[in-house]
Amino acid sequence: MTQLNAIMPGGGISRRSLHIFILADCSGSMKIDGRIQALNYAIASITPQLINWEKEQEQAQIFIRAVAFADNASWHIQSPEPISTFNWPPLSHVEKGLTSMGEAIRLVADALSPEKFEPRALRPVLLLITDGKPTDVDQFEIGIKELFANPVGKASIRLAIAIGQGANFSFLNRFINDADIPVMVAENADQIVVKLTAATLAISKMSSIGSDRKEVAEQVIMPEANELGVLDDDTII
Amino acid sequence: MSWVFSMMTQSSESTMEQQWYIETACVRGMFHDRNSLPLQDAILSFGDLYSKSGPLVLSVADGHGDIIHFRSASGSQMATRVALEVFQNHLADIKALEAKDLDLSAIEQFVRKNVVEEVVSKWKQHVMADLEANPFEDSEIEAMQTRPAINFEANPTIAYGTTLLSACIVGNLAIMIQIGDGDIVVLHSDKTVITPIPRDPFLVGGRTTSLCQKNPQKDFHAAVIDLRVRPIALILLASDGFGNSQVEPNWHHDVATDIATFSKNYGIEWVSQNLPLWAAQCASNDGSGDDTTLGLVLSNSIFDYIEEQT
Repeated sequence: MTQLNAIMPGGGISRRSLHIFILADCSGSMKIDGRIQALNYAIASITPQLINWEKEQEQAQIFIRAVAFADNASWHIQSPEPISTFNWPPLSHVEKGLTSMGEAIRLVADALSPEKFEPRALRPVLLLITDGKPTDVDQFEIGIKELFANPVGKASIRLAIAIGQGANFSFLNRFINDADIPVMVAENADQIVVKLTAATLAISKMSSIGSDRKEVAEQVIMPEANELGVLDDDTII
Repeated sequence: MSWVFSMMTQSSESTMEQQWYIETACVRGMFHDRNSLPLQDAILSFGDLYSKSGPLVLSVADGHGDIIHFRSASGSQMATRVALEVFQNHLADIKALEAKDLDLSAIEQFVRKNVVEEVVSKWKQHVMADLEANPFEDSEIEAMQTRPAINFEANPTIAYGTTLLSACIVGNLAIMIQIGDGDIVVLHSDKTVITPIPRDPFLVGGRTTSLCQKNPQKDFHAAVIDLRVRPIALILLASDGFGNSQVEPNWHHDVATDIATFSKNYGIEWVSQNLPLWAAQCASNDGSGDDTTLGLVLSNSIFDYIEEQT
């Protein structure tokens, strides 16, 4: 830590923010094989990893937000929660609930709009976890359009975890919109933790790669110990 | 580092001798240090190259940190030097335009067509000359190979990518140009604070417009202020390491007015001594951790700031 204590002009300084948005499927099928419980457990178990990473990299303050979607989508955690004090409030599946994935993407796209998203934040991370496909396909189309029309949404790192064989890769690939980054597949509830851990490592791998999505992809495919580095090395548009 | 310039400026009420002070600070970011990256920001003021009197120019450049811009530390230094040279070349032209009482939009057009065009072409010339003298080394070619989609052969200036912010005061005009991220903040003598160059909404997530891009002219911004109509007390030029450290999203007003208050209460010398500390705090892990550069152009009218306010 610096020992500098000069009186500064302005309202104070702080590290930049890294916002992680979790888009979590709570449709009826998430009750199969205890998927929703596994999802809750997985998110709770990656929290300490993110806390440690925040301490180690000393560059960014990590904040979590979450959207839950079933018959419709709503904020599960609307205000950015600092990872250092974060406790995951467990989600429940909605009995016979649909998969309003499009509506969820639209909520996040709106939160990333220039009027709402802090300009100095690092590129946000969007993590979509689902066992199905959108039942609101029209909203999905609008949501994807809104997300990529938004400069922050376009710049975001997008990852997707498909649970089981019911997830539709074509929709998830359109959400990721990067041929280098594959959908992570959790064959069963136990693998949700494994894949979410891989996703966390991929996020932390951003530390050593700046804006290179390919490195994120490699981390998704083959997780390895992350190195510390520069989170946001500027490059040209 | 500080410089003092004396100029005759025609105000709306009277002709008075106006004194301008330039204060600068440029600090390597903690994360550049950690990753063995050089200081990639650069700052240069007119007095560094020419006499310490007459018109003044201040330029700040922020070389991109990404691996593909492995010569951006040189690129940013070239950019600040070129901006000073080009403004110097056009000072007489700008004064002539001002004497013709052309409106500000005509002068801005001149700046875009001449100053900006020349900055772009001369920066490229400097880069190509450097490249001829120092061809890419094996390690640099390896860095290029990390991004096979980028055609370095077609555009080797990518290796030198940098932003550029410049402010020039000549006659009764303040002229500012900018490409890429960073901030130019103006505190007028009537206490209003403006950011004359609008923030490009697409400059997010470490993406920026750049001198090394294709057709950079189209992404340059320019602004001209008539000092007789809107006298200026302070111009702040900052690389994004400063703005990205600020907690307040709309920090420009508070930072500018606080600097004015400090200048009045503690003197320019105090500001000069503290400027590197402010930059260092932003460059530390308490702030953005990025290279941080601050350049101030202060008018002696800043000493009236608080007296008029109270």
